[in-house]
Amino acid sequence: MVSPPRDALDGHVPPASPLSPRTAYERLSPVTRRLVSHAPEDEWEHDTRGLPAPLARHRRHVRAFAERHLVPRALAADLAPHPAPGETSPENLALLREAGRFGLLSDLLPKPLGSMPPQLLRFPLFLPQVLRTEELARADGGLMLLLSASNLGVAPLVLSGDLGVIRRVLWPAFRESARGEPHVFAFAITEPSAGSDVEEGHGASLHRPGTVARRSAGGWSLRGRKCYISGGDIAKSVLVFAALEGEGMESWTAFLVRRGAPGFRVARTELKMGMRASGAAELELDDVHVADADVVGGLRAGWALNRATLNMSRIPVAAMGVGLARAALEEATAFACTYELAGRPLVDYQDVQLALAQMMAETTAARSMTWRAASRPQARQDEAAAAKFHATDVARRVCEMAMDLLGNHAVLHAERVEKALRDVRLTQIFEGTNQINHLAVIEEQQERLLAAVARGPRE
Amino acid sequence: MEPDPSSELSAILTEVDRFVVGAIEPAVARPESPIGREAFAALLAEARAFGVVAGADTGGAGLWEEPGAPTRSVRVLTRVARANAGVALAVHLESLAQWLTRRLRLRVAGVGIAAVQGRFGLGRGALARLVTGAALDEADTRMLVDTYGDRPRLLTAPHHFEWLVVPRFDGGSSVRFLVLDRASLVVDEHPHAHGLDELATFSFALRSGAEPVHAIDVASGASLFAEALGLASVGLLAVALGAAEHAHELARGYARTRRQGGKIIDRHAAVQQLLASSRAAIETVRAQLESASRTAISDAALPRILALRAEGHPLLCRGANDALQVFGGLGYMRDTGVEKLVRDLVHLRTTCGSPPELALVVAEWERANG
Repeated sequence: MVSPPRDALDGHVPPASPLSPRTAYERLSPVTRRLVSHAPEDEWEHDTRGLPAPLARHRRHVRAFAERHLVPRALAADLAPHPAPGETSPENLALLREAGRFGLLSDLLPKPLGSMPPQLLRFPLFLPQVLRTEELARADGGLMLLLSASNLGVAPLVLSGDLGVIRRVLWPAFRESARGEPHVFAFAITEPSAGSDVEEGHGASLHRPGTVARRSAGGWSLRGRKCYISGGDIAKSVLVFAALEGEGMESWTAFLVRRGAPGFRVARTELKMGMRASGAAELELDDVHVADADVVGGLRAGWALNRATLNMSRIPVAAMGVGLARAALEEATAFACTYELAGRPLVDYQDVQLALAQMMAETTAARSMTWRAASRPQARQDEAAAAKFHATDVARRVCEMAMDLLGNHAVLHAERVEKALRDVRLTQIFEGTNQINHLAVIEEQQERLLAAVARGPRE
Repeated sequence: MEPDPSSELSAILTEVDRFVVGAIEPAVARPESPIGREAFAALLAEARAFGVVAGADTGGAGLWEEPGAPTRSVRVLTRVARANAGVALAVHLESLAQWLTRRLRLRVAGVGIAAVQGRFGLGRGALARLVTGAALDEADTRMLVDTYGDRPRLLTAPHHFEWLVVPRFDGGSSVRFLVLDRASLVVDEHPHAHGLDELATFSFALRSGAEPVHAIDVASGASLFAEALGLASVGLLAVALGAAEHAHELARGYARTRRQGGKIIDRHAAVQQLLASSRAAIETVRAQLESASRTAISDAALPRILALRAEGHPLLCRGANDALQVFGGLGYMRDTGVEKLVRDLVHLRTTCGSPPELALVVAEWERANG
């Protein structure tokens, strides 16, 4: 039954009241009204209209895709049976095809090489990525990761600056995706004995590499294991980072391994807490031959490519947090407006209003920090890492507040909030745990801090 | 000579440990593969036979059967929850049903569950006014009728329950208790609830035209309801404490063996902070819970217990999340077990009043008592 329209929430005067900002502001002079405004529109619309036109278009475009292709599938994808290693569900494959045609698998490069609209070229690369990632995450964490992890594998190829690699590897792959034959890339750094050690310099300096490349005829032979590789189960191309035989982590090199290469195997995929629509794979490399031409960025350039890729991808991970917080906030808001208790919608209760306002503020603050980091033409490690750990910590808090707001209904899968909480938990872990990201801030500031130390101890 | 209560408790806990290690832990060893319905029912039957679950045959040794302060029950429940929160919650709810029906002077055969939460939480401030005997205004009555009336309520419980005992409010100033046979209920299972994978989350309502097995009016219905809520709440927090302790133990074990950054990770400040935070959460809640359980759970104790839950559950959730974080990526994987503990804790936190609602009840209680 539809409730009759209400003119005010409990504890508030109606907008038509002379005491409300909407009506009171009408008495102000037109000049003054340029300084203060009553803005009842939703924040997303407000923010989008404030963006430059190409970015606003991009945001609307991705949102429409996410609404159409991700939202209806989100709950079912979360519950789908765990596929055998290396297999993809027909539904996920269909989504990847759609996403490829839409351009989501190739948008790190502009047209005609990739799918990024040329109008977006005048903005920092990270801004469109952040907008896109938030929209996809807001629709569904797992499907977002299914469609976004590929860019992590593409990034080292782009960052290599090798036009030959871009022409020979990326261009054909992007064309495949655009034809509806998804070509997914994956980024393989983590090893069973090395999580944080492959994400920060100090740990790496003490780590004995587990995946090693040995010189062989016309190329290199890779041996080792990589684990928790997002999208590694479906990738056609995997960027495998390995040390050269007999050398340390300084020799890390990025090798392009094709799915189906002899000796390459998806050994297992993990059962995860959330983000279940996207596979986390363990990859086995048993003397996999990689031709010299498939060494990306040159020998011993892998560490730089790895660090640069992580610093690029931390900003979109912050956006994932924002998107998941927004999902929880939107679900909580919808619940509060439609669930009635004692004949009143929950939103009538002051404590519920306080919680919603807090969640809105936290989400907006996290987004502001993320957009600030994304607005730099170059990714700065300290800003990227700080945005990542702050936004994802805030996002978990917002999801927990949403759970509290829904009370005993929060545990129901159909309400979607519990799923956002499960999904958001991963964002505090990947691209370096949030603890490693704290240290990344200090690493970036090290020279400044050392200079202060050099001024001597205080009296 | 009077038996030494501490050695008696210690002997009971040793016995419970035997049961936990011998029966529960093997049955729940694979966190990614929850125990099946039949096996779970058999495990609960074993718990009943062992005497952990309250019932006619335990001679007073079951949960919530000790006279006076529930110190023993809280310790037992925490110990069981350290092995598995779902088993502990089932034991708790079944024992609470036994406690409540005993207080109502009823004998009901079969597996019963106490379902004390309302349709949405506990009825907010109106609950405080009801159980303190303050005058209820029209809005309070509407709130309580909506919360504890006819409309479907949610319950997380084992699949195999046969009857429920529930509070019922139809106006006035007291609470009735209904015993509802499962056959008289419309029960809808909501699959894939957030945590407590061994159990199921149902909504239930009395089938149209069906009657309760018992509908009991007692003169002190509101007071009895407050006591039942007090025990329910102490039990929920004890279960949560056990789950958080388990998460902490897992994290400590991992941190002692994992090497990153050139050393075992429990020597890194980043990991030490996480472990210390998890430990601090546990110690804080344990101290408060033990203190609260040293006195009998009367209706007057309810605000203290609800305040404890309002602060305690978020603390334990934070502690378990810190424990998960120690594992890095491994913690996110279901076979590690720690992610399940995080989910279980969130599930418990939202059950029977989420923290913001509990805070409201406490504040209103204080206001109603001047």
